[in-house]
Parts: sequence; C-alpha cells; structure tokens
Amino acid sequence: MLARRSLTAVLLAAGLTVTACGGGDDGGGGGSTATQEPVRIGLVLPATGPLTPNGEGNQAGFEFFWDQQDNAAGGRPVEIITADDEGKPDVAVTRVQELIEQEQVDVLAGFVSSAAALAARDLAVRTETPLVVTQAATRRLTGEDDSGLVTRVIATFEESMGALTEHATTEDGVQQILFIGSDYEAGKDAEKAVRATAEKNGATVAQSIFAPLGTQDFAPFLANIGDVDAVVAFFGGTDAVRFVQQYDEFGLKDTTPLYGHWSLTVDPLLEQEADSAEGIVTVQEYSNTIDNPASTSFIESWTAEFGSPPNAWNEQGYVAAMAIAAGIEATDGEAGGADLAAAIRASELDAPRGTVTFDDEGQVEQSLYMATVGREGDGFVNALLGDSSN
Amino acid sequence: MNWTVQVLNGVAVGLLLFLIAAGLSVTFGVMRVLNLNHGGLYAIGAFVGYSVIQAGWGFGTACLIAFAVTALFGALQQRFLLWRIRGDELAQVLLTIGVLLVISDLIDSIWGSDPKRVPPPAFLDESLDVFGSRFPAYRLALIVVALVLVVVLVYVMDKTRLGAIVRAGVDDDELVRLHGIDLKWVFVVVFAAGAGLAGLAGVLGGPILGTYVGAEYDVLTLALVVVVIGGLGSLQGALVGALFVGLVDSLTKTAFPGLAAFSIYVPMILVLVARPQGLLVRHP
Repeated sequence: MLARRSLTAVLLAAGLTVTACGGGDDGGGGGSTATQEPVRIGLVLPATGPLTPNGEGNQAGFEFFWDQQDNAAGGRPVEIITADDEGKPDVAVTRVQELIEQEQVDVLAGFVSSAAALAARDLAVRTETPLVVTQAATRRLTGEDDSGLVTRVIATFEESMGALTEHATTEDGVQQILFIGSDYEAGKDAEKAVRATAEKNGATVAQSIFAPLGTQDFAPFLANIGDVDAVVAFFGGTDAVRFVQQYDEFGLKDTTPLYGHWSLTVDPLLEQEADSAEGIVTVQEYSNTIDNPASTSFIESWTAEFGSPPNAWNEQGYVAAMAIAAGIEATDGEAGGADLAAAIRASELDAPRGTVTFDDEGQVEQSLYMATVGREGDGFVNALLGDSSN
Repeated sequence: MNWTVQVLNGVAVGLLLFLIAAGLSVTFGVMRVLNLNHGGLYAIGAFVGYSVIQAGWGFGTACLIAFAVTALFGALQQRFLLWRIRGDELAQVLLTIGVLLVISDLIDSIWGSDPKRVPPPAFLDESLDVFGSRFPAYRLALIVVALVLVVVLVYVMDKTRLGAIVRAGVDDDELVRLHGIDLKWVFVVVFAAGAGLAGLAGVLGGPILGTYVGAEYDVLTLALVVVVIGGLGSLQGALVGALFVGLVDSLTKTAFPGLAAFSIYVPMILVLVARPQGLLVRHP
C-alpha cells in the first residue's frame, strides 16, 4: 500500500511539474546600419502558448510595414526588438522591463492579452514610453488611463460587440439572446456590451454562460442553449474552432443563428472551421473582403510577398506600425516620450480598414463592418453585409 | 434540459479518456515505467491523423496510420530510452518531459501554431434525434468503437498468454525469465500498444478535444487525473476513472456552468481524500 501511495504521489508531482513547464523566450530582431541613431521599437507579442497565432499574425503585419518603408521614418532608421510575453502578465512585465532598461526602446508596441497589456501599461507610463496596442481589447486599457501615452488600434467591446448586438436586435429582429464567451476579462467585457445594447433596444440577454479558457468539450454548455432567437459568442483561437465545430455537430447551426466578434471566424481559424461556420454573422474591424484602394494595394503587395492574402491580425500589426511611423514623421524623428505619443494619437491614417483617427483616450476611431461567413470558390470568407459606421 | 443526452456525452468523453489513459495506467502501474510523454503520443497521433485526412485518405486510414506511427514511436522510446533507466522513476520523469518538450516544438514547427480541425467521417457528420435532443452521430459511434476496444483489451490482459506474462513479469520477473521469456520485448510490445492507443485517441478525439499545439499538455493532465482517480495498474481502474471524470465533468458543467473550472479537480481531490489509492486497485 505504501508503495502504491508513493507512486500516486510521483504522478501528482509529475503532473504539477509538467503544468509548470513549457515555454522559452526569444530576443533578436531587425537591424539597421545607418549612421544615425535608430528609433528603437520594442514589439511584445505572445510567441508561445495558446495566443501564438494571434501574436505571429500581428508581428508579420508590423514587420511587413517596416520592410515596405525600408525600416525608416522621419529621416531616422527604425529598429524592431521583439520579445515573447507568452500572453502572461508576469512574463510581460519582465520582458518590458528588459526592453526599457537594457534595450532602451523609444516605443512599445504589441500585446494580445489584456492582462499582459495592463501590466505593461503601468511600466510604460512610469517610464514615459509611448505604447501602441495591437490586439488587447479591454476598456480599462485606454479608458482608465489619463497619461496620454497609450494608443490602440483595436476597437473596444463597447464598440464592436455593441455594433454587433445593434445589428442583431434592429436589423434581424432578435429579441432573446444567449451570450456565451470565454471566462476572463475580455469575455466579461464583451458580455456587458451585448447586454447594454440589447436592453437599450428592448431585447434581453436571457442567459450568459462563461466557459473556462481552453475548454475542450463544449457539449455541456451547448445543452444549456434553450429557446432563444440567437446566440452571441466571444471566443478566440482553439476555443473558437472547437466551439464552432461543436455548435454545428449538435445541430444548433440549423436552429439558432450565431453571432460573434471577428475573432470567432478570423481567416486562419475560418480555414479550419469551414462549412461549420457558414452563416455566422460577425462584426469586423478589417476583413480582406473590404473594397477600398488602401486595402486593395495592401492585399496585392502582401500576396506578392507571402503567397496568401493578409488577415485581420496582420492588418492590426500593419496599422500599429503605420501609426508609429506617422508619429515619428510628424515630429521629424526628434520627439520621444509624451510628445511622440501625442503625435501618434494625432495622426490620421489611410489604413486598409478605412480612415483611422484616434480619440482623446487614444482609442481608434474607424468604420466597423458587419459580415457573414459564405462560400467563395473552394474556401470560405467573411463577406461584408454593409458598413455600420460609428 | 435533457439529462439523458448529457449522460451519453459523459460516457463518450469518458471512453475517449479511457483510450488515452489505458496505456499510461498499465505501463506505470504494472511495469513501473512512467512516461510523461503520453500527451505527446496523443498529439503525434492527432497531427499525423490530420495530415492523412487532409491528403484525402479518409478517417479510418488516419486512425490506422496514427496507431501505427505512435506505436512504433512508443516502442522505440521504450526500447532505446526508457529500458536503460527502468526502476528509476525520477530519471524517467525528467527524460520523458524532455521528449515531450521536443515533440511539442517539433509539432509547432511542422504544422504551425494555428489550431486544426479534424472533421468526423462524412457519414457520421450529422446530428441525430436522441430522446428529443440533438446529439452528434459521431459521439454515438465513438461509444460503440471504444466499447469494442475495451472488451478486446480486457480480454487480452486477463485471458491471454501475453496478458499473463505481463502480470507475472511484474510480480516476479526472475521466475518469468527462468521460463525463457525475454521481458524486454514483452515490455516493448505492451508499451507500443499503449502508445498506439493514445495516438488512435488523438484522431478519434479530434472532433471533441481538438487538434492544436498545446494539446499534449492538456491531454497529459487529463490522463494523469484519470489514472490517479481510477487507481493504478489495471485497465478496469482506468475505465472507472475515465468514466468518472467524463460523467462528473459533463454533468457538473451542464448543471452549474459557473463551476466549470473546478469540475475535474475538485472531484479528484475528494476521491483522493476518501481513497488515496484510487477507486480501483489491482491486487497482485
């Protein structure tokens, strides 16, 4: 018996070790041989863990923009130093500290995880380093901040999920909504936005379900979806793929329309979700089905370089880089700190998603687009329904 | 709420967990070989299966190839890595975690970090009306396939010469050797079978647990929980543990979605407090 117990102990200890393991880090980045002192940009994105696809997507777009500009803006060379925050706040703090103290970066950019971005923001504010956020969407990041240093190119959930719910309740006549989303800050923010807009329009959120991040089997939650007009979902990454697949497998796709944030059907995931995603209505900040000159030339040059069209993650990185470049240009490459941040916020960009400006909280102002998943050739796309300007 | 459907779902998930954990329970509980790369075997099976399906060879072929590839991998790992450090559990933990990390990075570099989707076979890609609720045909088929495997495995272990040798080899390996049996190869065969089952579960579990980088860790944790709850060393223990986890998890999440984060670990702690040796233990 004693031997048996100690074996169990070894197993448990081993399990703990494994969950604590995993991950590494990376440094490196691009260089410039110009004689002038470069503007140093610290790009912090997850390169390990479940948010890796989002981080890699942002990074590709960010670096693509600077490649197009020959790594220069405002007469100064630009150097990008990348770091992996693993999507975790504690790691983000360490990486940002290294970037600020050892690499002496002038600007910080990136962040997918809201928790990681919040942790990094405090350091950026303390050291007066401008921060341009690509993908972390929590309202607190810009709403609570009066330092003037934070700029963000992703819409808040009040805007995106609000517009989606507006569309569902007014255009599609949805009355009873069930919300389901990931159980963390972003999911809660998304739910609040859906609830507020629904109630404003006389509809109700009959039930809200929060599933832990990394939920493998959604079947027990899907069983709770009763008699409602529509389901509004907020999931990303592997959770999104499994949710969409299982929603279809349990026959709900044919009975209850599904609405979601664009992260539910972003192109790299849509490729896998395929026919299970058909008909899902989403709110898009950028989709490569947008037809304007900036988007067309972005898609052409991207496709020439990589062989496939850019996705929403790529465009986020691209627009974040555009904003930083505009700020450096506007100050002739001479400003840093709060002055550079102010110049970034003051920029007006002709971005692939349309005209982009920033409000006095540093929050992006842009058009939002309603889309639905439809077939195109052998594959599936987020086809635009029309423009819901903000 | 249709509880019958949720019980069915719990059984389907539970049987899937059994296929994953059976190899771990037998190799560790009976042979004293702790392989933390068990999750890695699941992931190898899952991604190899994904590629086979993408190549258009079909779901069944994917299952067979995934089984064969992971069984071979498991056999090589047992013969050339683990055999040398048999009896030393700490060395086994370190070595197999190392292999797991390497596998995880290899999968990331070969298949990329975007999550993949393994669709069920076309003829099962629909939902059926079960007691008034919709239920995926695939999960019903999975229950049938897994039950057949359970019967075959228990029969082999309890009734055949190979099963007898494995059990005897653990209780008194010298006596087995005196009968002219080379235990080294018996262990390799058993290890390969356990590995192959984990790889097979990687394909079968695709539509339920997912196919993504990181599955190797998530699945390993689940397998360890199943083995700890069920009790080490017997297929029956793994089966009881797996069904317990599948049903408790499924029913808790249905009844109390807010408790989803605790639906596996709290029951595990309760079981360990009441029965530290697990629900079922093999009596030598």
